[in-house]
Amino acid sequence: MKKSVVSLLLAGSLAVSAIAGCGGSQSAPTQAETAADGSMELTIWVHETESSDEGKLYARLVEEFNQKYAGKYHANLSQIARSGDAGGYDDKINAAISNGGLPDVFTVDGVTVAQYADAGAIIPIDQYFTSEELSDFNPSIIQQGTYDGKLYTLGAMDSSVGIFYNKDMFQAAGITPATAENPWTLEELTDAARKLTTDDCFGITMSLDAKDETIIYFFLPLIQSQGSNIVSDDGLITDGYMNGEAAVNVLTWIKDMADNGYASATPAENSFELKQAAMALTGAWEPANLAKFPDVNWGLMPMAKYDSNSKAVSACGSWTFAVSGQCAEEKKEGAAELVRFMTSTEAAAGMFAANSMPPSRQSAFSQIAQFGEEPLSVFQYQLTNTAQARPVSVNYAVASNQFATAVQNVLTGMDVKEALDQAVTQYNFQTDTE
Amino acid sequence: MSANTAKKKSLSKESLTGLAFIAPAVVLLFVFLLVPFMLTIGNSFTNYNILKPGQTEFVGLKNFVKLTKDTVFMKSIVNTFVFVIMVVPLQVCLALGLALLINRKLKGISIYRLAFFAPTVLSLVVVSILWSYIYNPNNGLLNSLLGSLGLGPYKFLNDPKTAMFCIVVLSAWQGCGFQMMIFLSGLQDIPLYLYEAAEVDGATKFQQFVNITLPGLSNIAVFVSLNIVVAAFQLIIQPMMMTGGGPQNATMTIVYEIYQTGFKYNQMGYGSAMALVFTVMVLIITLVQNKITSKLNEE
Repeated sequence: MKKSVVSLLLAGSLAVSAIAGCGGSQSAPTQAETAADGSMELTIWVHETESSDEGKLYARLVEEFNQKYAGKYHANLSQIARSGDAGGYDDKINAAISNGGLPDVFTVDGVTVAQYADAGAIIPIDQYFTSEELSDFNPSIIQQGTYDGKLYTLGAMDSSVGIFYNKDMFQAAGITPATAENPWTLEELTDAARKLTTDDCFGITMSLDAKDETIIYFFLPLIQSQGSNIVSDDGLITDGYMNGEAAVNVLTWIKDMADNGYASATPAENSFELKQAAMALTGAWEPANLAKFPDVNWGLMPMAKYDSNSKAVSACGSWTFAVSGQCAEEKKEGAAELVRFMTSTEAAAGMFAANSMPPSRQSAFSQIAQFGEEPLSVFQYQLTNTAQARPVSVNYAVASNQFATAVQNVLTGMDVKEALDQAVTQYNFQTDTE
Repeated sequence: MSANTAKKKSLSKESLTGLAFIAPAVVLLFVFLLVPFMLTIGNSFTNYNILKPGQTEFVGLKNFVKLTKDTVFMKSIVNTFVFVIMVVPLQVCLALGLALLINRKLKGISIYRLAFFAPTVLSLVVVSILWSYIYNPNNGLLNSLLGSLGLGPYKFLNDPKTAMFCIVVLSAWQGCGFQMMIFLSGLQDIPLYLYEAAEVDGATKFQQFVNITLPGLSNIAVFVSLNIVVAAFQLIIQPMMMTGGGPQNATMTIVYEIYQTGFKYNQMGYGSAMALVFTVMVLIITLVQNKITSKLNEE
């Protein structure tokens, strides 16, 4: 009797773990149907399901595409959920690369363009677009999609990072915020953070506990601001870059901010929104979050530059559309047409309405009233003038991960130079770089 | 002759039925265990990159030579063993303690049973996120509690010295409910008359525990610890959710490193070599455990 109870529990817990393991990782792909009107069949995969507004937008756009090109092209959309990092969608893409099951068009995260292009999983699309068309895109969108001199991807949305600040606290401390054209230097930012730090309020929150892409996304601009990067221009060498002077300067600054108590190494959730931090270094998704905290009187400043001699650089980049390397020759034109449609001005403007991310092109910016005025005008200014893409590198995943690890190591007590040297050693080891 | 054929026929029919019954299990084992295992062995001698399956080449023992120089992988082996060595005794003791506590006929005891068992049913991902809030150095629950006692604040997951121990505690808490139920069933299988006889002989509660309860549970204890050891070697979710393997690789585990190499860095060949080494290690440990267990049973 007792044993049967145990075995029942065993079976139950197994069932639970099985469900937890498989649950919700992907939605059923749309069945490919033969178009009755003889139009060319195209397949497209996106990384958002219809449970989000962004996913709904993709579904609507594909429907509009099919109406516009009725009789010529017919696109079949599959919406596949991501599950954590490198889960779900990415697994499916990786499997499809091996077994030849890639669709004609699929979404690619901007930072993975190089490795997919290098593997032949996506093909150049420059020949299908006029330079006039391309000039409407944010310069950084072209930069992020270009590998080995050829353009592989275009996106509908972009992203940006700025310094959100609490207007009331600034006023109380007598601090004048920076304008879009004149960002603060790190010295000015540190100074403000010091003045704003109190016993129950950090000067700034910078997601320093992140162990993922966030670290490089937030802090690489400070390295680029000094004219350097974490990898060489060809995306292969990190020695002298990731452990170079510019990176050492930035990590030293991060460490000082945490050690002096101006920024928390382990920030609490929503500390800016709950007024436990006077400033927040964070991304374009933040206004949507702040809408839930109506009593925070906030403004937006541009990303800081390193010092008065360095140039202003801001973060950018997002998901893009690519034509797959397995797309049949006669379908390529249609696939490129689909990419054009999914990244149109209307699509880019729709993306802002769906997920509040800034658009990838100027014509869309001018359609959205919010970007014409503060605070969001800061993001438009940055994406038009100062944004620099993250390195287009086949080894990007390793470089990014090692850099984030170095920042964590520094924040938990390791020497800056030692941590960055270790990151380079690990990068070389993992990528077999001599 | 005809009788013989009939017998043969019925036999073959019977064995066919038998085969049909085991077929699903065999097919599943073959597809999901044997084939991937063989593929892993094969891949570990190649430079297989997930994104470039067409450029896969045989590289001999290169991956294994690389492994011997991989400081992070070595660290992850050490970390995994440290975790196993800490979590197994803790979890067994916790499970046994809880089982003793709830092995009474009191009103409402089933509520306690449910409460102690509940963490097991929760997803490890959820539990990990929950505990990283508890461990938060700034305003986490644990530091607030310790603070009111005049202790801390401690960095917990952000200190390389304490991070692994924090994961041990949460893992034991999450896992012990299940083993508690197994211990409980074992406790209830011990005949009551033994305790009655001991009481008549004037044995104290402690003597009863040492001389009746513990020997009565020895078989179950072996089974329970085997279970925990196997599960503990597969540690990945907690560090993935809570520390990312840090700080300073203090919580990087073998399985996490295999996952990272294979799926994040796309180095399937090298990851397979790691997995193969890991499999051999676990195999050896299981064999040793089997030897010890069978020896115990002989005694």
